[in-house]
Amino acid sequence: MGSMSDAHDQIEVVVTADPDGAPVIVLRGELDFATAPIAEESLAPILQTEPARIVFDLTGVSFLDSSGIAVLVRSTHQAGTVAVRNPSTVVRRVIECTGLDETLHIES
Amino acid sequence: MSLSSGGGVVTDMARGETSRVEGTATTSEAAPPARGETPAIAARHTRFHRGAAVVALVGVIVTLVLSLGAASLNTRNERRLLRQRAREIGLVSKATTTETELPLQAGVYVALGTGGNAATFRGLASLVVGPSATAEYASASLWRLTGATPVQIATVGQQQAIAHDSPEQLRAFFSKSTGLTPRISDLLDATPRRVGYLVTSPGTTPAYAIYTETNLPKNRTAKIANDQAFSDLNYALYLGKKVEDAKLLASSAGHGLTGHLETAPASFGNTTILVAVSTNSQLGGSLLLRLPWLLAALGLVLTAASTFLAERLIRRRESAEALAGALDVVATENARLYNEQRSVARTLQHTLLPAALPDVGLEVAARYVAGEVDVEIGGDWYDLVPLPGNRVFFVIGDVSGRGIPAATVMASLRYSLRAYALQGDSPDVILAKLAHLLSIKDDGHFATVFCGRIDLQNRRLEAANAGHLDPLLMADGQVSFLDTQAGVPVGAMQAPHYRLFTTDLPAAGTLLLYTDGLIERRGESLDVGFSRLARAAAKDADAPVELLLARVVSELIPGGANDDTALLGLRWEA
Repeated sequence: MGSMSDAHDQIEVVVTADPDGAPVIVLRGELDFATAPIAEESLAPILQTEPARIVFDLTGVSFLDSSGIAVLVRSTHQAGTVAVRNPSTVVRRVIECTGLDETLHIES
Repeated sequence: MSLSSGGGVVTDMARGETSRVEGTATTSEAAPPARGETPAIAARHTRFHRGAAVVALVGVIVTLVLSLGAASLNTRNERRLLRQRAREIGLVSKATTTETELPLQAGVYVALGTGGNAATFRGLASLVVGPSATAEYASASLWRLTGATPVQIATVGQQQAIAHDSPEQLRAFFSKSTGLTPRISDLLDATPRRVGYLVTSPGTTPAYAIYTETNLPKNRTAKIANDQAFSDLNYALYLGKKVEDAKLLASSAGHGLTGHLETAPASFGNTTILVAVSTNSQLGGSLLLRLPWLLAALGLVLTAASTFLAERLIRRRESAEALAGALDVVATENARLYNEQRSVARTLQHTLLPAALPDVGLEVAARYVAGEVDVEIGGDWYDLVPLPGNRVFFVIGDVSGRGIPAATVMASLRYSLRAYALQGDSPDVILAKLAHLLSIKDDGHFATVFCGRIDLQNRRLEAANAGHLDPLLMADGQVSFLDTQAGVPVGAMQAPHYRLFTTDLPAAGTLLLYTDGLIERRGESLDVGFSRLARAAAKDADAPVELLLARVVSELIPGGANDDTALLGLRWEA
């Protein structure tokens, strides 16, 4: 009956800040259909402040699907600039194939 | 606001598993088989379980064995102690009889020495004869045996049993003498009950004899009854070797003994007396006496406790089994409902997809592979619209998220696309217009869309890509992905710009469009998926489009995909 709560469906969300004060959301795990709501819940209070800039540190993210991308894209409507920091080649490719590599500023 | 509603959909999905578990709990009460179980369980509880009964039985048996063992041990110990006491009393009796013999033997020697002096005898006898209880003898007489008939020289004390005997009887009586060893006469029938002692002087023809009688206590109570050493014993002395009331000399209780006896013989003159003892209390101490009862009590308590425990454990296990059974029923029911729900969702989705592809002058085939994992439908779709001027419009897309909301967005996009396409808009314009209809901010969804127009007359393709994976072109034995420079997905941002991609098509070729479920795998780059698709497609490049799609699906997602997957194949011939 489904395997949505499999071990790989885990996401860890840690919020830090850049020297300029921009919130940095450090994600670790897989950002997908199962974990996107968790990430979104952690994000909500930060996005409510409508920050000028927000950074997603994707160093520890091994998988990103369209639900994960939706999390990133949705944040662009509340934050001034959204940057994606250090995505793996796998994740970077997903962002590129979705035509979002310019909307989500990739920093590596 | 709709952001949260979109989030809500996703969240519901993510909780799918949880809510099904909750559903389990509620359904368990509603499920008739589960309800049917309950009275059966109650009925089973009214009787004692066999396991508990076995525990009880074993407990009782063990208790019994232990108690009986302890009791037997105690009995054996008691008997051993009793035998020991009997022997001790035998020894005491022996000493007592020796005391009795000595004055008689001394008297015979004195008679020999004094020539049967009557006065001397009387003097001696008066020391040990008298009516008092402390006196050894009730009577004593001295006889001369040298004549034809025994002659009484002197007598002291009460009248003796032989006082009126005829000369023959006297001769017969004295002839049975056993010398210095007293010959015991059984006068237990006489009144008062007494015992006679006959001692004759040594030698083959004895010269003198002393005959004494001792009265037995009237109540037959022995003098040593109060002796501390034997206070815990009942004892009786019998003349002879048998326990026989008529031969009772004396006893502690004044009558013969009953119950368990231990006996020890003791020599008494020429005969024997039997010492019999029984206890009037526990010899081995009270603990040993109580031990069997203690063991029995303790054993029964432990048995009761373990029986109770066993019964409880068995009942608990039974409830667990019953619960598991009920849960099984619920799970089955749940699975059925799940499948039913899934089938309803699938039916809905298929009604949103084209029932049959129109004849557009191409060999076309489409395939929709439902995700294995979830009941919720995906937002994948494809469509094909014939356009005037020997042209055909095609689209493949994927709305983010799942469930009815995603399907609804998909339906609205699909019909809008058809309208714009029929209106004659070019693919880039169509995507830009679509972007006005959908916003992730308001609707919670975005969509990746690839759409294009093929001009069959001029073999020309115009296309636009909103965040979708590039299609695969197969021509002249080559496979390649079109490099369409994808723009952002529809709904990702406001007023996006989409590039129009145009290319000349080969005279004959196949265009394969698909959604990400086909190539996306955890832990690997999309490029690996692209290569896999290219290889699989190349292998069956010449197969009919329908078969090509089937082969690609079975090659790339043999076990079924996690995500929904849509494929659309278009082939034109030279």
